[in-house]
Amino acid sequence: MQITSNSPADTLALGEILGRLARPGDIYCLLGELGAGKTALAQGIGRGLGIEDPVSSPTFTLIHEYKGRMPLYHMDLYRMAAPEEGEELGLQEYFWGHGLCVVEWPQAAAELLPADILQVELRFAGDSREIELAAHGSRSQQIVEEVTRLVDSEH
Amino acid sequence: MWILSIDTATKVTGLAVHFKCGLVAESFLHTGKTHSERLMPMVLQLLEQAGIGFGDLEAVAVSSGPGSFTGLRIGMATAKGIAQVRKIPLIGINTLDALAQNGLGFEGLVAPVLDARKDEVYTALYGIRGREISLIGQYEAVSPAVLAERLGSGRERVLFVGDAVPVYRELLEARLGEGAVFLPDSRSLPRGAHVGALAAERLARGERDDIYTLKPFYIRPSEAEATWAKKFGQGG
Ligand SMILES: Nc1ncnc2c1ncn2[C@@H]1O[C@H](COP(=O)(O)OP(=O)(O)OP(=O)(O)O)[C@@H](O)[C@H]1O
Ligand SMILES: [Mg+2]
Repeated sequence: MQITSNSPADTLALGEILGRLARPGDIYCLLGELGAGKTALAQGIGRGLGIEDPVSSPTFTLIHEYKGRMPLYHMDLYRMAAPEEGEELGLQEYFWGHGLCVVEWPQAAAELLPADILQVELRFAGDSREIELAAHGSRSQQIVEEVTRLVDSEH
Repeated sequence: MWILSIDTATKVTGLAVHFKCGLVAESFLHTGKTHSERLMPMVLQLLEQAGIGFGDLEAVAVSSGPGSFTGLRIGMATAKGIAQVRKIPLIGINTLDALAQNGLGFEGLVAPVLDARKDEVYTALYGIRGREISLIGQYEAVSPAVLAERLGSGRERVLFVGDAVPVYRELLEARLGEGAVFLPDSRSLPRGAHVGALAAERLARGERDDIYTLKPFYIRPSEAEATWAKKFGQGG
Protein backbone atom coordinates (compact mmCIF):
# COMPACT_ATOMS: atom_id res chain seq x y z
CA MET A 1 0.00 0.00 0.00
CA GLN A 2 1.10 3.58 -0.56
CA ILE A 3 0.45 6.70 1.52
CA THR A 4 1.31 10.32 0.77
CA SER A 5 2.82 12.24 3.67
CA ASN A 6 2.57 15.99 3.26
CA SER A 7 4.43 16.95 6.42
CA PRO A 8 6.68 15.57 9.15
CA ALA A 9 3.50 15.42 11.28
CA ASP A 10 1.86 13.05 8.74
CA THR A 11 4.92 10.80 8.85
CA LEU A 12 4.88 10.88 12.65
CA ALA A 13 1.20 9.89 12.66
CA LEU A 14 1.85 6.91 10.37
CA GLY A 15 4.73 5.92 12.63
CA GLU A 16 2.46 6.09 15.63
CA ILE A 17 0.04 3.64 13.97
CA LEU A 18 2.93 1.30 13.17
CA GLY A 19 4.12 1.53 16.78
CA ARG A 20 0.69 0.67 18.15
CA LEU A 21 0.38 -2.36 15.84
CA ALA A 22 3.81 -3.80 16.66
CA ARG A 23 4.24 -7.15 18.39
CA PRO A 24 7.41 -8.52 19.99
CA GLY A 25 9.75 -9.83 17.31
CA ASP A 26 8.46 -7.57 14.52
CA ILE A 27 10.99 -5.95 12.22
CA TYR A 28 10.38 -2.75 10.28
CA CYS A 29 13.00 -1.98 7.63
CA LEU A 30 13.03 1.67 6.58
CA LEU A 31 14.44 2.42 3.15
CA GLY A 32 14.95 5.78 1.47
CA GLU A 33 17.56 8.37 0.63
CA LEU A 34 19.29 10.63 3.13
CA GLY A 35 16.71 12.91 4.68
CA ALA A 36 13.75 10.95 3.33
CA GLY A 37 12.18 10.83 6.80
CA LYS A 38 13.18 7.42 8.20
CA THR A 39 14.15 8.82 11.58
CA ALA A 40 11.00 10.96 11.60
CA LEU A 41 8.95 7.78 11.07
CA ALA A 42 10.92 5.98 13.81
CA GLN A 43 10.06 8.83 16.18
CA GLY A 44 6.38 8.21 15.55
CA ILE A 45 6.87 4.49 16.06
CA GLY A 46 8.47 5.22 19.43
CA ARG A 47 5.49 7.34 20.37
CA GLY A 48 3.13 4.53 19.34
CA LEU A 49 5.02 2.20 21.67
CA GLY A 50 4.47 4.63 24.53
CA ILE A 51 8.11 5.71 24.69
CA GLU A 52 8.45 9.12 26.24
CA ASP A 53 12.14 9.75 25.63
CA PRO A 54 12.72 11.41 22.28
CA VAL A 55 13.92 8.93 19.66
CA SER A 56 17.11 10.32 18.10
CA SER A 57 19.17 9.21 15.11
CA PRO A 58 21.57 6.36 15.96
CA THR A 59 23.87 7.35 13.09
CA PHE A 60 27.08 7.04 15.08
CA THR A 61 26.15 4.42 17.64
CA LEU A 62 24.28 2.20 15.13
CA ILE A 63 21.79 1.06 17.78
CA HIS A 64 19.66 2.88 20.35
CA GLU A 65 17.50 0.96 22.81
CA TYR A 66 14.30 2.30 24.39
CA LYS A 67 11.89 0.87 26.94
CA GLY A 68 8.26 1.08 25.91
CA ARG A 69 5.30 -1.27 25.75
CA MET A 70 8.07 -3.56 24.48
CA PRO A 71 11.73 -2.80 23.83
CA LEU A 72 12.45 -0.71 20.75
CA TYR A 73 15.76 -1.32 18.99
CA HIS A 74 16.31 1.57 16.61
CA MET A 75 19.22 1.01 14.22
CA ASP A 76 20.88 2.99 11.47
CA LEU A 77 23.21 0.71 9.51
CA TYR A 78 24.35 3.35 6.99
CA ARG A 79 27.95 2.95 8.07
CA MET A 80 27.90 -0.78 8.23
CA ALA A 81 29.96 -2.01 5.30
CA ALA A 82 29.40 -5.77 5.39
CA PRO A 83 27.18 -8.41 7.03
CA GLU A 84 30.22 -9.65 8.98
CA GLU A 85 30.27 -6.34 10.81
CA GLY A 86 26.63 -6.88 11.75
CA GLU A 87 27.41 -10.31 13.12
CA GLU A 88 30.11 -8.76 15.25
CA LEU A 89 27.61 -6.28 16.58
CA GLY A 90 25.30 -9.15 17.45
CA LEU A 91 22.49 -7.89 15.23
CA GLN A 92 20.86 -11.33 15.06
CA GLU A 93 20.15 -11.24 18.76
CA TYR A 94 18.06 -8.17 18.13
CA PHE A 95 16.48 -9.51 14.95
CA TRP A 96 15.41 -12.74 16.64
CA GLY A 97 14.66 -11.11 20.01
CA HIS A 98 11.49 -9.97 21.74
CA GLY A 99 11.40 -6.31 20.93
CA LEU A 100 10.51 -4.26 17.86
CA CYS A 101 13.45 -3.65 15.52
CA VAL A 102 13.28 -0.49 13.42
CA VAL A 103 16.16 -0.54 10.96
CA GLU A 104 17.24 2.44 8.84
CA TRP A 105 19.58 1.57 5.93
CA PRO A 106 19.00 -2.19 6.37
CA GLN A 107 20.57 -3.09 3.00
CA ALA A 108 23.93 -4.22 4.35
CA ALA A 109 22.21 -6.53 6.84
CA ALA A 110 19.98 -8.25 4.27
CA GLU A 111 21.60 -11.64 4.80
CA LEU A 112 21.15 -11.47 8.57
CA LEU A 113 17.46 -10.52 8.51
CA PRO A 114 14.59 -12.98 8.86
CA ALA A 115 12.44 -13.20 5.71
CA ASP A 116 9.19 -11.87 7.21
CA ILE A 117 9.97 -8.18 7.55
CA LEU A 118 7.81 -5.14 6.92
CA GLN A 119 9.48 -3.01 4.27
CA VAL A 120 8.75 0.71 4.45
CA GLU A 121 10.12 2.78 1.62
CA LEU A 122 10.09 6.59 1.72
CA ARG A 123 10.44 8.50 -1.53
CA PHE A 124 10.77 12.22 -2.19
CA ALA A 125 7.78 13.61 -4.08
CA GLY A 126 8.28 17.35 -4.44
CA ASP A 127 8.07 18.73 -0.92
CA SER A 128 6.15 15.71 0.34
CA ARG A 129 6.90 12.00 0.62
CA GLU A 130 5.41 8.82 -0.82
CA ILE A 131 5.56 6.04 1.76
CA GLU A 132 5.13 2.50 0.55
CA LEU A 133 4.56 -0.51 2.79
CA ALA A 134 5.44 -3.95 1.44
CA ALA A 135 5.02 -7.29 3.20
CA HIS A 136 7.44 -10.20 2.91
CA GLY A 137 5.51 -12.83 4.90
CA SER A 138 2.28 -13.54 6.75
CA ARG A 139 2.99 -11.42 9.84
CA SER A 140 4.05 -8.37 7.83
CA GLN A 141 1.06 -8.91 5.53
CA GLN A 142 -1.19 -8.70 8.59
CA ILE A 143 0.41 -5.39 9.60
CA VAL A 144 -0.07 -3.94 6.11
CA GLU A 145 -3.76 -4.94 6.18
CA GLU A 146 -4.31 -3.39 9.58
CA VAL A 147 -2.57 -0.15 8.59
CA THR A 148 -4.70 -0.01 5.43
CA ARG A 149 -7.84 -0.43 7.50
CA LEU A 150 -6.81 2.20 10.07
CA VAL A 151 -5.72 4.75 7.49
CA ASP A 152 -8.93 4.26 5.46
CA SER A 153 -11.13 4.69 8.54
CA GLU A 154 -9.38 7.97 9.37
CA HIS A 155 -10.42 9.52 6.05
CA MET B 1 25.70 30.41 -28.29
CA TRP B 2 23.66 31.28 -25.19
CA ILE B 3 24.03 28.80 -22.32
CA LEU B 4 22.05 28.77 -19.09
CA SER B 5 23.70 26.93 -16.18
CA ILE B 6 22.06 25.75 -12.98
CA ASP B 7 23.74 24.57 -9.79
CA THR B 8 21.51 23.49 -6.89
CA ALA B 9 23.68 20.63 -5.63
CA THR B 10 24.25 22.34 -2.27
CA LYS B 11 22.42 25.03 -0.28
CA VAL B 12 23.75 27.54 -2.82
CA THR B 13 21.55 28.41 -5.78
CA GLY B 14 24.03 29.28 -8.52
CA LEU B 15 23.01 30.38 -12.01
CA ALA B 16 24.94 31.70 -14.97
CA VAL B 17 24.40 32.83 -18.51
CA HIS B 18 27.26 32.46 -20.97
CA PHE B 19 27.48 33.73 -24.53
CA LYS B 20 30.16 32.38 -26.86
CA CYS B 21 32.07 31.01 -23.88
CA GLY B 22 32.08 34.37 -22.11
CA LEU B 23 30.27 34.98 -18.81
CA VAL B 24 27.40 37.45 -19.27
CA ALA B 25 25.37 37.17 -16.06
CA GLU B 26 25.49 35.26 -12.83
CA SER B 27 23.38 34.89 -9.71
CA PHE B 28 24.28 33.43 -6.36
CA LEU B 29 22.07 32.91 -3.31
CA HIS B 30 23.17 31.26 -0.10
CA THR B 31 20.31 32.08 2.22
CA GLY B 32 19.53 28.63 3.63
CA LYS B 33 16.10 28.61 1.98
CA THR B 34 15.06 25.74 -0.27
CA HIS B 35 15.58 25.82 -4.01
CA SER B 36 12.13 24.63 -5.00
CA GLU B 37 10.30 27.95 -4.82
CA ARG B 38 12.99 30.35 -5.84
CA LEU B 39 14.74 28.55 -8.70
CA MET B 40 12.36 29.32 -11.58
CA PRO B 41 11.81 33.00 -10.59
CA MET B 42 15.60 33.39 -10.34
CA VAL B 43 16.11 31.86 -13.78
CA LEU B 44 13.51 34.18 -15.31
CA GLN B 45 14.99 37.19 -13.59
CA LEU B 46 18.55 36.40 -14.68
CA LEU B 47 17.53 35.85 -18.31
CA GLU B 48 15.64 39.12 -18.30
CA GLN B 49 18.58 40.99 -16.81
CA ALA B 50 20.86 39.41 -19.40
CA GLY B 51 18.47 40.77 -22.02
CA ILE B 52 17.39 37.42 -23.42
CA GLY B 53 14.43 35.05 -23.22
CA PHE B 54 14.01 31.27 -23.17
CA GLY B 55 13.79 31.38 -26.95
CA ASP B 56 17.39 32.58 -27.19
CA LEU B 57 18.88 29.73 -25.19
CA GLU B 58 20.89 27.22 -27.19
CA ALA B 59 21.96 24.90 -24.36
CA VAL B 60 21.25 24.30 -20.71
CA ALA B 61 23.77 22.93 -18.22
CA VAL B 62 23.22 21.46 -14.78
CA SER B 63 25.41 20.53 -11.87
CA SER B 64 24.66 16.81 -11.71
CA GLY B 65 26.09 15.76 -8.36
CA PRO B 66 27.27 14.51 -6.01
CA GLY B 67 25.29 16.69 -3.63
CA SER B 68 22.03 17.01 -1.82
CA PHE B 69 19.38 14.61 -3.02
CA THR B 70 16.55 17.13 -3.21
CA GLY B 71 18.73 19.90 -4.59
CA LEU B 72 19.99 17.71 -7.42
CA ARG B 73 16.46 16.56 -8.19
CA ILE B 74 15.18 20.12 -8.52
CA GLY B 75 18.11 21.31 -10.64
CA MET B 76 17.91 18.27 -12.90
CA ALA B 77 14.14 18.51 -13.35
CA THR B 78 14.33 22.22 -14.16
CA ALA B 79 17.19 21.83 -16.64
CA LYS B 80 15.52 18.87 -18.33
CA GLY B 81 12.25 20.76 -18.57
CA ILE B 82 13.92 23.69 -20.31
CA ALA B 83 15.96 21.44 -22.63
CA GLN B 84 12.88 19.46 -23.58
CA VAL B 85 10.55 22.38 -24.23
CA ARG B 86 13.20 24.40 -26.10
CA LYS B 87 14.61 21.29 -27.84
CA ILE B 88 18.18 22.30 -26.98
CA PRO B 89 21.15 20.25 -25.73
CA LEU B 90 21.37 19.33 -22.06
CA ILE B 91 24.78 19.09 -20.43
CA GLY B 92 25.46 17.53 -17.01
CA ILE B 93 28.58 18.67 -15.17
CA ASN B 94 29.96 16.85 -12.15
CA THR B 95 29.55 19.11 -9.12
CA LEU B 96 33.07 18.38 -7.84
CA ASP B 97 34.60 19.11 -11.27
CA ALA B 98 32.84 22.48 -11.29
CA LEU B 99 33.95 23.24 -7.75
CA ALA B 100 37.57 22.35 -8.55
CA GLN B 101 37.49 25.32 -10.96
CA ASN B 102 37.40 27.57 -7.89
CA GLY B 103 41.05 26.63 -7.46
CA LEU B 104 42.21 28.13 -10.77
CA GLY B 105 45.16 30.42 -10.05
CA PHE B 106 46.47 28.08 -7.38
CA GLU B 107 49.29 25.67 -8.20
CA GLY B 108 49.15 22.25 -6.58
CA LEU B 109 46.36 20.05 -5.29
CA VAL B 110 42.74 21.05 -4.83
CA ALA B 111 40.17 19.03 -2.92
CA PRO B 112 36.55 20.15 -3.25
CA VAL B 113 34.62 18.96 -0.19
CA LEU B 114 30.83 18.87 -0.11
CA ASP B 115 28.85 18.17 3.03
CA ALA B 116 27.38 14.67 2.60
CA ARG B 117 25.84 14.59 6.11
CA LYS B 118 26.45 11.60 8.39
CA ASP B 119 29.94 13.01 9.06
CA GLU B 120 31.10 12.40 5.51
CA VAL B 121 32.16 14.59 2.61
CA TYR B 122 31.89 14.04 -1.12
CA THR B 123 35.31 14.72 -2.51
CA ALA B 124 37.88 14.10 -5.22
CA LEU B 125 41.45 15.24 -5.64
CA TYR B 126 42.60 17.39 -8.56
CA GLY B 127 45.95 18.70 -9.68
CA ILE B 128 46.18 22.25 -11.03
CA ARG B 129 48.95 23.52 -13.25
CA GLY B 130 48.36 26.77 -15.06
CA ARG B 131 44.92 26.55 -16.66
CA GLU B 132 44.93 22.78 -16.58
CA ILE B 133 42.97 20.87 -13.96
CA SER B 134 43.11 17.11 -13.85
CA LEU B 135 41.26 14.63 -11.71
CA ILE B 136 43.55 12.38 -9.68
CA GLY B 137 41.82 9.25 -8.41
CA GLN B 138 38.08 9.04 -8.02
CA TYR B 139 34.90 10.62 -6.69
CA GLU B 140 34.12 9.33 -3.22
CA ALA B 141 32.25 9.78 0.04
CA VAL B 142 34.68 9.67 2.92
CA SER B 143 34.93 10.79 6.53
CA PRO B 144 36.84 14.08 6.84
CA ALA B 145 39.16 12.48 9.41
CA VAL B 146 40.20 9.80 6.94
CA LEU B 147 40.65 12.41 4.22
CA ALA B 148 42.78 14.62 6.47
CA GLU B 149 44.92 11.63 7.44
CA ARG B 150 45.46 10.66 3.82
CA LEU B 151 46.27 14.16 2.58
CA GLY B 152 48.30 14.99 5.69
CA SER B 153 50.85 12.33 4.88
CA GLY B 154 51.75 13.97 1.55
CA ARG B 155 54.08 16.93 1.23
CA GLU B 156 52.11 19.07 -1.18
CA ARG B 157 49.84 21.87 -0.07
CA VAL B 158 46.14 21.23 -0.58
CA LEU B 159 43.52 23.85 -1.34
CA PHE B 160 40.11 22.99 0.11
CA VAL B 161 36.94 24.48 -1.38
CA GLY B 162 33.26 23.71 -0.88
CA ASP B 163 30.43 23.98 1.59
CA ALA B 164 32.01 21.47 3.99
CA VAL B 165 35.06 23.71 4.57
CA PRO B 166 33.58 25.74 7.46
CA VAL B 167 32.40 22.48 9.09
CA TYR B 168 35.73 20.66 8.97
CA ARG B 169 38.30 23.45 8.66
CA GLU B 170 39.67 22.96 12.19
CA LEU B 171 40.04 19.24 11.70
CA LEU B 172 41.86 19.73 8.39
CA GLU B 173 44.14 22.39 9.86
CA ALA B 174 44.94 20.21 12.85
CA ARG B 175 46.27 17.49 10.57
CA LEU B 176 47.68 19.45 7.65
CA GLY B 177 48.78 22.64 9.41
CA GLU B 178 50.11 25.16 6.89
CA GLY B 179 49.59 22.54 4.20
CA ALA B 180 45.84 23.23 4.24
CA VAL B 181 44.85 26.29 2.21
CA PHE B 182 41.45 28.00 2.24
CA LEU B 183 39.73 30.76 0.30
CA PRO B 184 37.05 33.29 1.23
CA ASP B 185 33.41 32.21 0.70
CA SER B 186 33.20 34.13 -2.57
CA ARG B 187 35.74 31.73 -4.06
CA SER B 188 35.02 28.65 -1.97
CA LEU B 189 31.33 28.03 -2.63
CA PRO B 190 29.82 26.60 -5.86
CA ARG B 191 29.31 29.11 -8.69
CA GLY B 192 27.03 28.74 -11.65
CA ALA B 193 29.74 30.27 -13.84
CA HIS B 194 32.01 27.26 -13.37
CA VAL B 195 29.30 24.85 -14.45
CA GLY B 196 28.80 27.01 -17.54
CA ALA B 197 32.52 27.16 -18.34
CA LEU B 198 32.84 23.37 -18.28
CA ALA B 199 29.60 22.97 -20.22
CA ALA B 200 30.91 25.30 -22.95
CA GLU B 201 34.00 23.08 -23.26
CA ARG B 202 31.90 19.94 -23.61
CA LEU B 203 29.61 21.59 -26.16
CA ALA B 204 32.64 22.72 -28.16
CA ARG B 205 33.70 19.07 -28.30
CA GLY B 206 30.28 18.25 -29.73
CA GLU B 207 29.12 16.47 -26.59
CA ARG B 208 25.67 16.53 -25.00
CA ASP B 209 23.68 14.36 -22.58
CA ASP B 210 20.43 12.54 -23.09
CA ILE B 211 17.38 14.12 -21.47
CA TYR B 212 15.92 10.74 -20.64
CA THR B 213 18.97 8.96 -19.29
CA LEU B 214 20.93 11.71 -17.50
CA LYS B 215 20.51 11.13 -13.77
CA PRO B 216 21.88 12.82 -10.67
CA PHE B 217 25.18 11.25 -9.68
CA TYR B 218 25.09 9.82 -6.18
CA ILE B 219 28.09 8.24 -4.53
CA ARG B 220 26.84 5.36 -2.49
CA PRO B 221 27.97 1.78 -1.95
CA SER B 222 25.91 -0.24 -4.41
CA GLU B 223 26.84 -3.75 -3.30
CA ALA B 224 24.49 -3.74 -0.32
CA GLU B 225 21.59 -2.65 -2.53
CA ALA B 226 22.14 -5.66 -4.78
CA THR B 227 22.12 -8.09 -1.86
CA TRP B 228 18.92 -6.50 -0.62
CA ALA B 229 17.26 -6.78 -4.03
CA LYS B 230 18.19 -10.46 -4.25
CA LYS B 231 16.47 -11.27 -0.98
CA PHE B 232 13.64 -8.74 -0.78
CA GLY B 233 13.14 -7.68 -4.38
CA GLN B 234 12.93 -4.17 -5.77
CA GLY B 235 13.46 -1.12 -3.59
CA GLY B 236 16.45 -0.19 -1.56
N1 LIG C 1 6.52 14.52 4.84
C1 LIG C 1 7.66 14.46 5.54
N2 LIG C 1 7.95 13.38 6.30
C2 LIG C 1 9.12 13.30 7.00
N3 LIG C 1 10.05 14.25 7.03
C3 LIG C 1 9.83 15.36 6.30
C4 LIG C 1 8.65 15.51 5.53
N4 LIG C 1 8.70 16.69 4.91
C5 LIG C 1 9.87 17.25 5.28
N5 LIG C 1 10.56 16.48 6.12
C6 LIG C 1 11.88 16.80 6.70
O1 LIG C 1 12.80 15.86 6.18
C7 LIG C 1 13.78 15.53 7.13
C8 LIG C 1 13.79 14.05 7.39
O2 LIG C 1 14.91 13.75 8.17
P1 LIG C 1 15.17 12.33 8.80
O3 LIG C 1 16.32 12.49 9.73
O4 LIG C 1 13.92 11.73 9.32
O5 LIG C 1 15.64 11.52 7.50
P2 LIG C 1 16.29 10.07 7.42
O6 LIG C 1 15.57 9.36 6.33
O7 LIG C 1 16.33 9.44 8.76
O8 LIG C 1 17.74 10.43 6.91
P3 LIG C 1 19.12 9.65 7.17
O9 LIG C 1 19.27 8.68 6.02
O10 LIG C 1 20.13 10.76 7.09
O11 LIG C 1 19.08 8.97 8.49
C9 LIG C 1 13.43 16.33 8.39
O12 LIG C 1 14.20 17.50 8.39
C10 LIG C 1 11.96 16.64 8.21
O13 LIG C 1 11.58 17.81 8.87
MG1 LIG D 1 17.86 8.74 9.98
